[in-house]
Amino acid sequence: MKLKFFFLSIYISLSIFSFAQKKNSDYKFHSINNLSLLNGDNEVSAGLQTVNGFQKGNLFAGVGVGLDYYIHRSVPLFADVRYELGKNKNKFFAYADGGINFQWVQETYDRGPIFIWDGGFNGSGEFHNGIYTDVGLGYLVDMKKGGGLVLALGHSYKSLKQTVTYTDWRTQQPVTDLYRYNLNRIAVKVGWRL
Amino acid sequence: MRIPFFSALMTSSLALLFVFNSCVKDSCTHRYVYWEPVYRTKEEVRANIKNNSSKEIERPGKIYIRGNYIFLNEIDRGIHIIDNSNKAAPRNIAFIDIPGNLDIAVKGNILYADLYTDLVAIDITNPQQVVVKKFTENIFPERYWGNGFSQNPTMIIQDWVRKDTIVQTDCGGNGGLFGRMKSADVFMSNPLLTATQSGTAAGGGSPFGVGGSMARFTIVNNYLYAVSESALNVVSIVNGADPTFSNKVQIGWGIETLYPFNNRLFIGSTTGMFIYDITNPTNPVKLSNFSHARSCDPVIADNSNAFVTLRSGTPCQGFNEQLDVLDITNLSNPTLIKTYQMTNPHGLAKDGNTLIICDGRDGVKFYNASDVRNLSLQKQITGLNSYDVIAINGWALVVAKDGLYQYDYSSLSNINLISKLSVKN
Repeated sequence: MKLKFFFLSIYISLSIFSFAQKKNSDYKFHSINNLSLLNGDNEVSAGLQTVNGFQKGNLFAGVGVGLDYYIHRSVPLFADVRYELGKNKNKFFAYADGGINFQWVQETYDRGPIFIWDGGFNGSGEFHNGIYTDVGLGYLVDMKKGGGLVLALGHSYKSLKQTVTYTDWRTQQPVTDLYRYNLNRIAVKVGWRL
Repeated sequence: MRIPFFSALMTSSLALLFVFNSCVKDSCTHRYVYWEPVYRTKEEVRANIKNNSSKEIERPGKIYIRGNYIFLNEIDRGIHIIDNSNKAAPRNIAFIDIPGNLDIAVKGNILYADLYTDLVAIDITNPQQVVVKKFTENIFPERYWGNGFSQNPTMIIQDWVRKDTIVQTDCGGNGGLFGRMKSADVFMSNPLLTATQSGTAAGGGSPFGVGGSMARFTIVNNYLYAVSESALNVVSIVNGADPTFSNKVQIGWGIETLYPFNNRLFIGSTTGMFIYDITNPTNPVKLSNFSHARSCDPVIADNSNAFVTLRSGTPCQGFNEQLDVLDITNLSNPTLIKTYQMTNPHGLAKDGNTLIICDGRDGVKFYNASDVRNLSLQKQITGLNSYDVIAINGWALVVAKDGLYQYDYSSLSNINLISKLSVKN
């Protein structure tokens, strides 16, 4: 079943891509791949993203996925829209992303006992997905055959939740602590548009 | 021209990356439960140790059977008295309020229970009209709460009120470009909790009650033995209504369970099993110990073998889920015969050649243990998260997360559920 769905997805994607590449088509496919520096008040981290979608006129819409290493590693999956300002080959653009921030925390928090000073022990920690947004401005240097250098500066936000369940040592009641991580960063992205 | 402009923009962006940095702040919160103690005076608490109205079972702990009655510990609250004269329809008839109670033991008509640091002796001749006989103070000093929480010494905590609290917390960070690689603060406290292990059946005519395999109290002849986190306490009950502290023997940290057999005490700890000789009942002497990987390890024994379950996911740490069968024919040198893999084994009991293991979420397993090198699973009861069992002549009383189950296993091929007393949801 999964294999059928996989091949169906490929077929649909190729059909859309081929439609978009037809001469005189209003839609043009682009793949934007970039590296980013994420600077928040707790650390400077790296990230990378690929955004794939179609452009009609000045408007681009696509879907992106990335790796975000800021504090807790995660995988944002998001919708991306961007609007190019002006008609020059080299131009500024505004962009906005929004989607789900899938947790992919590097350490297996779910095994080790976690000491909690104010009353507990031996928790099982588990991370949960949050949301991801990114808005900003960029500049595109148009190169040959529609390719180009892309530079962007924006505000990026991601959230995660972590639950830690343990037995309180005084009351011996099972309790669950909830940690919410709301992480704001300034993001600089440098990439290449195909 | 294009590239120099791009370079200038990039330089500016990197500069802005750090300039604007002061405009963004991470916000991380921690919602936790704060338990506020409800105090009563010592006099008020002691006056309330009597048959009060029955209460719903919420967090069942240790169990003890005496005649037609089941005494079931409600963790840190007291003891349910259950009339089990009709096993098919047990009746929860009364509740004895004993704050801080975790363990119970019975000899004759006297029930012994801990009340935080103290031991209380209660006459249960008429379980529907119990009478306090004596308080022996400071037998269990480790139950005096510490670690940042100071109990008012003139008062006793009767209850706890849950209060949810949210505070700002550190977000972490400083993991560099590729984030945090390790979790922080991973170590463990040593709570004064649960685990105890226990005993199988006493004879029908015995004055002693029967403890579940999760008990830390046991009675041998005229002495009550009680393990704390690091010590074995000996309390004389020559005069049952007048328990008197006799001795304290330091054993080592991580003590969990206590099981008596033939003038021996088998003591389970997080790192191994100890065997103590109690020929001189007031002066237990260590005969040997068997070390194992760190984990919780309830233990029971018979003439030639000890059965030790190791489990994880508990205050004992460890990652083992297994049953170890030991040869104890030479009590000075117990040796491992065989290890059997389990799911999350807790309490266990042995009745003749039938070994019964509470295997956590895998339910209750009944083994034919006539050949300990080749235990054969006869029956598995699923659908309950079990942690302790008492087995007496074909009748099993199982404490599970959702209730107290009674089974008739006189025929292993046809095990019947006699009744279930549910835990309050």
